Amino acid sequence: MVVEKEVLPYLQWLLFSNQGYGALFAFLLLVSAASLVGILVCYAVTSARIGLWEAFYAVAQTIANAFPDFRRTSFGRVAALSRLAIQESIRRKVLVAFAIFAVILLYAGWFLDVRTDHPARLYLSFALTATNYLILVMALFLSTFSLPNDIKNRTMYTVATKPVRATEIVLGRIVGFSIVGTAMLALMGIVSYGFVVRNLSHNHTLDADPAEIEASLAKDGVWEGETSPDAKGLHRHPIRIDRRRLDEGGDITTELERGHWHVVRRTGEGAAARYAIGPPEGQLQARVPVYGKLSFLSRTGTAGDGVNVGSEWGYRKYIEGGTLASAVWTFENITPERFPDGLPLELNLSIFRTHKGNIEKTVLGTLFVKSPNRGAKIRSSTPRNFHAQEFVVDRQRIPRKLQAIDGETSTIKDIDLFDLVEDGKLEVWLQCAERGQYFGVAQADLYVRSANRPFWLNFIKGYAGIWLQMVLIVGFGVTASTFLSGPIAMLGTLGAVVLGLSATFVFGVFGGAIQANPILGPIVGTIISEEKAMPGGGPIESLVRLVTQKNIMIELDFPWLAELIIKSLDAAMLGSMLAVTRMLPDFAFFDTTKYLAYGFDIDNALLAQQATIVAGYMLVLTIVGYFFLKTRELAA
Amino acid sequence: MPGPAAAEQTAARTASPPVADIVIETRSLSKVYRDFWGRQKVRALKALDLHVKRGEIFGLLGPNGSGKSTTIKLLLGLLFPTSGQALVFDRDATDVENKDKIGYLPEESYLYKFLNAEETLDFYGRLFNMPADRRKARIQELIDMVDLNWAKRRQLKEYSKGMTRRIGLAQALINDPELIMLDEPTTGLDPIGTRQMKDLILDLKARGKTVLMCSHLLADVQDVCDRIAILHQGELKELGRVDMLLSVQDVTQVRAKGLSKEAEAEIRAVIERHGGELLAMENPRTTLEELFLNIVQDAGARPGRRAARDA
Repeated sequence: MVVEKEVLPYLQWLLFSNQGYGALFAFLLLVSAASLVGILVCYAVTSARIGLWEAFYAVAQTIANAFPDFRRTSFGRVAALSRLAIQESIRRKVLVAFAIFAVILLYAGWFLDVRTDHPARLYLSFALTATNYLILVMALFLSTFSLPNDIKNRTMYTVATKPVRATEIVLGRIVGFSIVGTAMLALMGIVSYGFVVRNLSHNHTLDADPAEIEASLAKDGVWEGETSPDAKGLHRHPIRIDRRRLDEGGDITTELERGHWHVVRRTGEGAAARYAIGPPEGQLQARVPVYGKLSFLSRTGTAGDGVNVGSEWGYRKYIEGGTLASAVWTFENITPERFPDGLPLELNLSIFRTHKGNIEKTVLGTLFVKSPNRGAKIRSSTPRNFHAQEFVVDRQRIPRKLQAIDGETSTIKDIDLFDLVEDGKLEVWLQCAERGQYFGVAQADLYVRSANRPFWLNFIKGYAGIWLQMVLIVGFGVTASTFLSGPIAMLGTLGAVVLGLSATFVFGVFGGAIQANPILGPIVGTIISEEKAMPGGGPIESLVRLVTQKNIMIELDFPWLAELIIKSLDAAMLGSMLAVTRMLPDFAFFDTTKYLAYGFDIDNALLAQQATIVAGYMLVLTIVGYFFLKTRELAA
Repeated sequence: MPGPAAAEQTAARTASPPVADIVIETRSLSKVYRDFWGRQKVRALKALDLHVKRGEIFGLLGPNGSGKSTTIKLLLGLLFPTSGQALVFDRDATDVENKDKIGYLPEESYLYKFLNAEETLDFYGRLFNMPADRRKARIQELIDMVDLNWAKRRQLKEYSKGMTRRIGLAQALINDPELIMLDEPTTGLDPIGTRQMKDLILDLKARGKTVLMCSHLLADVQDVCDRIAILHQGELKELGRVDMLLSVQDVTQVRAKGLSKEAEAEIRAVIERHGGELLAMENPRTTLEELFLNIVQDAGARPGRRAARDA
């Protein structure tokens, strides 16, 4: 699974994540900047209507009145208005969305590729994506039409003439629709869980007579064969039953196929022996990966960087085979208490081949476990060779008992894995053993699998991510509907979602121009430091270059005043684009379905970060909604 | 906030009658409707000055589009004045704190059609943060009062216009308000319903409540209102007590019985000398309808002026 952005611990994210500033600082900065701009715009609009002096009092009074309104917001009235929103949703046949969902799942089987190698991934991502989009569309419709309808039908007259504050009207709707969405999501979650489990469950039997197996066990001590195919005839599992293992009372498992295995149980002895194959295991899991820090050694073994093989996507870097080029992961906090049976590693490599051959053929790789202490007497284990395959998660267990070369005596010694651990730190080195072939790795491609969490818990966490998105959309929808008519509010919210989803892309498009702008660059350069300065300027400069036929590499060569005007206009436009994009939530950040589908535990820190972001947005949206509703003539 | 506006405000307040007795006060209240671009569309209300005292029934009269509803909406804070002030209980009309003491029946009962009568009243009761037991008792009391006990479990979308009106009224009274604003209270009601509504308004007055109603049904206003204001195209044309407004001061009407022709002639002579037995001597009463039509005609003939008569 691709993890492009590391999940930081919660407090670090909150306080220090952005070049030492942290999410909280960014939030406060954005909120204060937005409030300032908001107040100025309101003042400008008001003074155009009632004059400069009066407008000052009007704006000041509105802000002053807001504080008692916030303070006296009553929970009881919010609850009453939420109840109304729920009743309204039921009347507006919100259950239709659920019916659509059920129908989609019913017929999904016809269109899904059942022959996939990863059925769990397929069914999970399908069910989650369907839930996600349906619930978001439902939230969008519910939240954006309610308030404008109330104002249009004038039912708002009877509500607004009661002692109801604008905060309560906004909050009541947000809470009410969120409850409706929650109930809906819970229903969809239960159905999805059933859908996934039902589609994945299947049975095999042993394709041999028990007597034959017993005979073979008695004669050779081992029986090798296959299970029967599953009901759809899609796969069989090879089995190897070992007499010794049976006698030890160990579990016999089938080979891994389509992401799962089965446990084989024997009852009885001799002629009375019967074999039963259990349900599929290991396909719905929540692995907890422990990631290390990745660094590279060049082909001469000195500190360097990985090779770029020309792929446009810079996520993975490559190490050259048959050289000293290595990828080194440094893991922290490796203790015998956490890993009493050695290190369970999982690898997911990409392979770049420079000579022709069988694409199915594996490439030989080497793993070392090393101590981070360069001066240690025994620094490295002996190499462990493995066959690397693409698109498959390769499991490698580093056992406690290792062999190492003693640097002084040049003899091979038996050591314990934890002899190599220094202050809880341990290095894992990866090299490619075949000349002309390259391994592509990213930080998340090799990890220690520390534990398994229950799948159902992870499922709930995945749904919590969808829930947070739903709440966010309800918040945006209700707030937009305090000042826009229903359809416009819906389009606006949809626009915010789409822009939020593609924030990274949009930002990538003009981030370079911002860095290059002589006015904007120095101010916000630190905030967007990942972007490289790009020549060519912003929209205005680009237009000028287009018309005057100057390519982006040559100087503009205009009088300084003209150039200043062009750059300032660009700064204003790019700045406002930056502000808008930065203010919208990055919806992609909330998508945790890939974790669930790929069987990784969703980091609690990630969930906490998402929840914090949503809480921040809800706070701001409620306040914004309050001011729009408060300053609006409901009867106009 | 201290400033010239505040100083002006306190000055105006000391000049007006005792604060406790004034429930509604408007000071040159004006409303101009504008379009999206801020261009003036309609001047709905022009410099209205009104005082409504505690315990009286005040009627706002006027033809369609005269500014009655605008005035009520301004007093409820549903609209914001273009200039001037609307004060209710001596606070700005938009102040949420006021709303605890106000009941409002809109011109059509704008209620949630998917709720039934009980749920409707329960919802509005909750908006007043009424405790559950008091709310329950009050709901039953109001449903009994408006005679809807038989239909209290039916959704409002099944209600007839008259029934909707009644539940609207019950909704307006849920908080036992001190000031009730009724926008066209009798439209859509049958004669019996109209009678009941009028009785109810008089009953509210008897219990010391203040009622502000607007209507173009003159007979209703004539029957219940203590004082009226007649608006025409946003301007105040007439203001005063109903009994004063309807008496024709410069005419005396004499009614007698069983007199011969000679006697009649004599009585005329006697009356000239201030003698004889008078069976009746009074100023004839005009109907409100006549007064209203006169004012509207007068306003058409001489726009921009207060009606000729002085109250």
